[in-house]
Amino acid sequence: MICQLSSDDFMPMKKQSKTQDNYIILPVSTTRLNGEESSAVANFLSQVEPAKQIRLNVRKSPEEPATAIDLKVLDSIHQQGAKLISISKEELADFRFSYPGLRIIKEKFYRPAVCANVQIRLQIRQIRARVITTFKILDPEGNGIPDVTVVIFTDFAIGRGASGITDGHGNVKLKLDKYTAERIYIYPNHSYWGYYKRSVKLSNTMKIKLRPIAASYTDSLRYFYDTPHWKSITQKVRVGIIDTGVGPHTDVKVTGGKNLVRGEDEKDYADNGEGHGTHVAGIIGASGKLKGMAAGVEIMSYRVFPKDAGASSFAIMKAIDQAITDGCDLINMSLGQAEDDEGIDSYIKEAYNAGVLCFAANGNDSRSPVSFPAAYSLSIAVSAMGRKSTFPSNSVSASAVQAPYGTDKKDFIADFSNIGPETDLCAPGVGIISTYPKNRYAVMDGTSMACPAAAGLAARLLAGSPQILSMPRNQARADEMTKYLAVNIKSLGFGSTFEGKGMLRAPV
Amino acid sequence: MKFIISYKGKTAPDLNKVAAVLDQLQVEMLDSTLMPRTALVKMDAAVLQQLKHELDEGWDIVPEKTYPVPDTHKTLRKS
Repeated sequence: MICQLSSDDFMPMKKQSKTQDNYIILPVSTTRLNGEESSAVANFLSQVEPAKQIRLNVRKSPEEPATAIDLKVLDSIHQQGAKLISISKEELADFRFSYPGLRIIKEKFYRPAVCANVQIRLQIRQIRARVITTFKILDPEGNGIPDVTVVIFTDFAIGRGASGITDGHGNVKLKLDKYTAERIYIYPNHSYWGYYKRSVKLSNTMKIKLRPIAASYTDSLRYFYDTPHWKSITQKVRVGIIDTGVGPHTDVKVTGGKNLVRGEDEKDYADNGEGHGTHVAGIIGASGKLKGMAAGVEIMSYRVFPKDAGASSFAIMKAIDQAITDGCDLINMSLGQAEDDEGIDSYIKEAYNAGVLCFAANGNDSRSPVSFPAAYSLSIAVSAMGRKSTFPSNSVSASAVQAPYGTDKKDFIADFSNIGPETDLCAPGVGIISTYPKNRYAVMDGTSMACPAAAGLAARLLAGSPQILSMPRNQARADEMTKYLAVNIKSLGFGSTFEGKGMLRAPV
Repeated sequence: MKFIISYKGKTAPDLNKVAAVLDQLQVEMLDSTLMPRTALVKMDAAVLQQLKHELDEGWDIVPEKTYPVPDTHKTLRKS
């Protein structure tokens, strides 16, 4: 146990220097204690009293001495139930990992539902094409690459430019309003690194050669985790991947799964062709030419995305339910959207009550608030970080470099990553090489990649703790899994809004 | 429109009553595999308030949402 509440914990606080926010804390299932909670959670909720200032001892790793976090209890609905607390954002992740059985909800303030004046802005832009450019996207031998997305910005700040997809010969013709491209982004689906360049003078024909992916390349994932030299895990750990489906790929063995898309064959849980789920699965458990975080893990594929369409929230709920039924230990959800989704929240809670931890991606909306379901307090929310020099300097991944930088100034939080106090962990998510359907490899950026990096390492860590894995499948199991992970996290120095408690450490 | 109905009550839901209400309001059951707790239904949005009124306490009704496949591609702004 990381944190135990005792009489020593109720110490008067010293001067508070960090900004405090208010959060409502509740038992995992109900609004009052019902006997299913861990003793730490039950003690905490029943012993704390309003107006009390508390200092909690938190152990960050087995070898470090305990440190203290301060919080204040502001109000209580019931002695056995909900409390309103005040705690700093910086210490929230420590608190969450120390009391994993608590639901933690940020206090919200509602306004009267009066109708405000609606401001309608009409944007009328008359764009006159000044230059027509044919972009030829080529492999190193000079052959055209089809199905590559080319996005040209002539004014990045207002999002002006043109985009298209290359034809069978690798060509796409675009009409642009300026002779200079402020930014060029080129996104191949697989086999090549993307391309990024600023301030490019345009001509009638622009030839751009893409760099092929080498599976042996040390990307940011392999910089931090030496997966090529890790042994396969032998303890049974089962990870459910809720995504576009997985495979086929010789590096990724799929134990089972189900297609939850309405109207599709439930036995077809291979990738729908978009490759996202196969990439996620490779990060978690590839075991072939490429090695994932937990080679040897059992992968279950739950397909919820129809081809070229969004996933239904109902399909995601069914997928979580199926993953619980199938005995998954962890669930990876590299998906999200801005609004809370009570239906999915309730199934994540169901999973937690069944001893299953759900990892969810923070979202890729450029420093926006953490998406749902990652923002739900019983999910483990993962932001994306990267490291300079782990991708080619002219690759799309290079465009993700942005402050804050870590203790090591080469580390950064990806420009696209959502951030906020709900963040639990960060993991590599920039320029990640992984599997793609039909035995290909692809580079992808996103919190979608950071999430399985964390989930995969969690699987590897938990494989080293058979006593936790063999516990009865209930909330106490999920609590213990969370606490076990909590002592294997290292801060990279970004601050808790960006990295939560930090990045999971590989087992020695 | 498609909606998800979910039961959060403490006692077992009266499924016969649920079936009768859905039938009466011409609400189409699309997927009942998660019953007795959750189901996907299709109905005219105008029926929503009446359905909420007719179902027992403990039933929540929320619209089905859609989640896009995430990516980090830069896109042009539509004018």
